[in-house]
Order: sequence, then C-alpha cells, then structure tokens
Amino acid sequence: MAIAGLSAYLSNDPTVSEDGHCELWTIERGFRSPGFWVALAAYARHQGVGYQQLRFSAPERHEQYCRAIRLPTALGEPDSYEHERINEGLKYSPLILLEDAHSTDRATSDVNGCIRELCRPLGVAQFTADLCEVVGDLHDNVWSHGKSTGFSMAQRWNVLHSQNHKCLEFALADCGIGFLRELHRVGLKVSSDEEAIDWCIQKGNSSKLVRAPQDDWAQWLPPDMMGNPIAGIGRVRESENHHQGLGLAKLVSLVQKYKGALWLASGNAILTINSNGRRAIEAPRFSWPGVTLACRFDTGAIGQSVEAPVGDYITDQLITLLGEGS
Amino acid sequence: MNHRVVSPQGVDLASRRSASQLRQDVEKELIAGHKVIFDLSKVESVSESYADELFGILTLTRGVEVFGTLIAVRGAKPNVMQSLARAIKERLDADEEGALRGTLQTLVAAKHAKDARNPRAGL
Repeated sequence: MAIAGLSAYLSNDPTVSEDGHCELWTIERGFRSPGFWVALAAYARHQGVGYQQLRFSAPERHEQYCRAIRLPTALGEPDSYEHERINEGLKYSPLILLEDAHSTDRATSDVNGCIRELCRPLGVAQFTADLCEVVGDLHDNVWSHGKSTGFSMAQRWNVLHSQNHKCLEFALADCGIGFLRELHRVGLKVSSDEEAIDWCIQKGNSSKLVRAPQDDWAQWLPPDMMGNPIAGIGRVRESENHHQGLGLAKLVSLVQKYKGALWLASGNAILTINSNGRRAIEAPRFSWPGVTLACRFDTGAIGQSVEAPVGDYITDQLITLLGEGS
Repeated sequence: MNHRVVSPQGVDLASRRSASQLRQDVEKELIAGHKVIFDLSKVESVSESYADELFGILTLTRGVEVFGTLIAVRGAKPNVMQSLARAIKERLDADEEGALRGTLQTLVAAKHAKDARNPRAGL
C-alpha cells in the first residue's frame, strides 16, 4: 500500500492550469496519511480555498473519510458527517484548528488518546508518556508560533502484510512565519531553511530563549512576578519569558530511539528521518510558508525498544516534596 | 490554615494559557492565606509548556520552599509527577546544584518530620 503523506503533498505542482486545475487542491486515489491532510487543510485555508474547490479523483473513497476527519469544517463548511464518530480520540484525531487554549487542549487529548490506545498492549509506558508530553508541547507551540493557522491530526492504520502491527502518524501544519524568519526575528544569523531546521531540532535551542526585540507573549503575561518570599535558598533561573522549548528535539530523539519516521518542513527544506535513523534534506516543490511536520511510529518497532528508567536525585527529591503525604 | 483543592480540567494538560489562568487562581488562594492541593488524579499527561507555566513559574515567583509547605499534589501518576518535578528543576539554578541538593534534603526532611507528627494532616 503506497502511503501519500506530507512529502507527497509538498511535491505537488503549485501552478494552476488553464482549466483552473491545480495539484494542490486535487486528492488523487490512494491512502493519504495525516501529514497530507494537515498540509492540505492549512494551505487551503491560507490560500482562501474552500472545500467545494477541492477535486477528488476517487470521491467514493475520500469524501466520506474527509467528512469524518472534519476537513469541510476545517475549511469553513458546516459539519455534514451523518454518523457518530465512535473512533475519534481512539483510532484517529480529526483535523483541529489550533486557534485557542480550548482547541489546543482538545487536540492534545484526542491525539494522546490515540497514542494510549495504540500503546496499551505494548507495555511501553515511558514511550507513551514521553510522546504524549511532546504532543502537548508541539500543539501549544504551534498555537503560539503559528498565529492560529495550525492544524493537527492523527490516524492509526494496520500495516499491510503484517500480523498485528499498526502504524500511528501524528501531524501538524501551520502557515505562520516559519523557522528561518522566526530566527531572523530574534537576531540569529541563520542563512537557509535547512540551517534553521537544524538549529530548531537541537536540544536546548528555542527561539523563545533568545533575547528578542519584542516577544509575542509579552502582551498577555500577567504582571505577577512578586519575588521569592523566602530569599536565600532555592535561587531561581531568571528568564525573560516563560517559553522553555519547542519539543522538537525530544520528538527527534523519540523518533530515533523508537525507529519511527519524521518529516519536518519549513520554507524550502524538508528534513526526513527514516526508520533506520538516516537523515536527508529534500526540497519541496513549493515553499512552505510556516512549519509542518509528520511523525510515524510502528508498533512492531516500538515494542522491540528497551525502556530505560528515568530520574535523578534532584527530580526524585522534588517528587517527594510535591506529594501530599509520605 | 484552610486549604483549597484545585482540579484542572482535562486529561491531557497542554496549553500555557490554561496553565497561566490556573496559576493566577492559585496565586490568589495563596495571597488569601490558603494552602493549595492540586488534585491530578484524572490527568494522564502534562506538557513541558503547561508544567513550566504552572509549576515552573510558581518556583520562579515563590521559591522551591512553597512545595510541601503551601502547595502539594494529590493522586498524580508517576509520569505526571516526573513532568512537574522536571519543570521545577529546570527553573532552579543549575549552577547551584550543591546548595540545591542541601536545600531539598532539608525540605524533604522537614516534610517527613511533619508527616510523622501528623500523618493525616496532608499539607
């Protein structure tokens, strides 16, 4: 089964033919994964293209599915799906526009519900916890960086010709300012989209930790810095704002540790990491205006990975301190 | 001292905005002289962003001493506790690890002593 995901969408020809046909708004026959759907939804919305302008090569296969995953709603149409969505938050998470705190939390719960459902029989508690945590971070950061243009989606499916293996793909796409312009905005000398991607996936790197001329969050931060009432012990690290990271470094680490696959695009570069850990940079057919990513995990590979215990002295002491009673 | 039990909405806590609003509510309770217990028994995951905005910033504004004396967590799953503890740790000065270890030892010992004196007291 050929799977058309984020790479497939980004390799579409963006030119419009004389009859008005454009590959970007055409859904060809075959299986499409969340990376494809989030990119389509975000870019169509960005370009002002409505659901009625999409063309389906196999409408009998895709239209029903598109209504189930709420693509019409994502593009401004009313919800016309006639069935109860009994698998939402279990086997798939629909297209959700990350436009406020409520939708960000809802998307996180739906995607994480799918992850927990997938991982429950595998006994991989640490992977489950780590991936769920990263999903929450990515959603929150897409909302804050993506100027409310970001879409989220997840879908699981059975791997063809395998006994019990399943795949889960989680994807995000926004049409915000992208990595390169964001890094330029905060004064970093990065010269290409490829370099910008590379910077953003490094552990500890976040544009929000670089001194910026003006921070987006400064507008709504409450003036509640009232100082440490017991000065002298437990000195804290000062920070100009409350952002600590993007979650991308952790996602890359999880993809590599659990033999997943990743596609991460911004501007004119796509970083791909395959299940063997091989990295490559490709060029999309058109420049992606923001950031889009898709990650895919196979239960066969997840189940074979060994989970190491986490924790250290300070974290353990803090956990003791936080608990209600000992 | 009275205590207030706070139960965040949702199973997966993700957005900074939600955490920020909850933190402002918690600050009001603390200013009013109440202790706060977070009931996280229904929570499955906490994002780094959420944990930092709530527990990280409380560490920044009130110091690590607030935990175990004025703020406690009830019913949290181990992975949730890990996320919260990591957020606090990230906000503490890494350059002062030796002093921090000593401070935590003192605080944990004080907490154990208090719990031993009155095992049902909670905070």
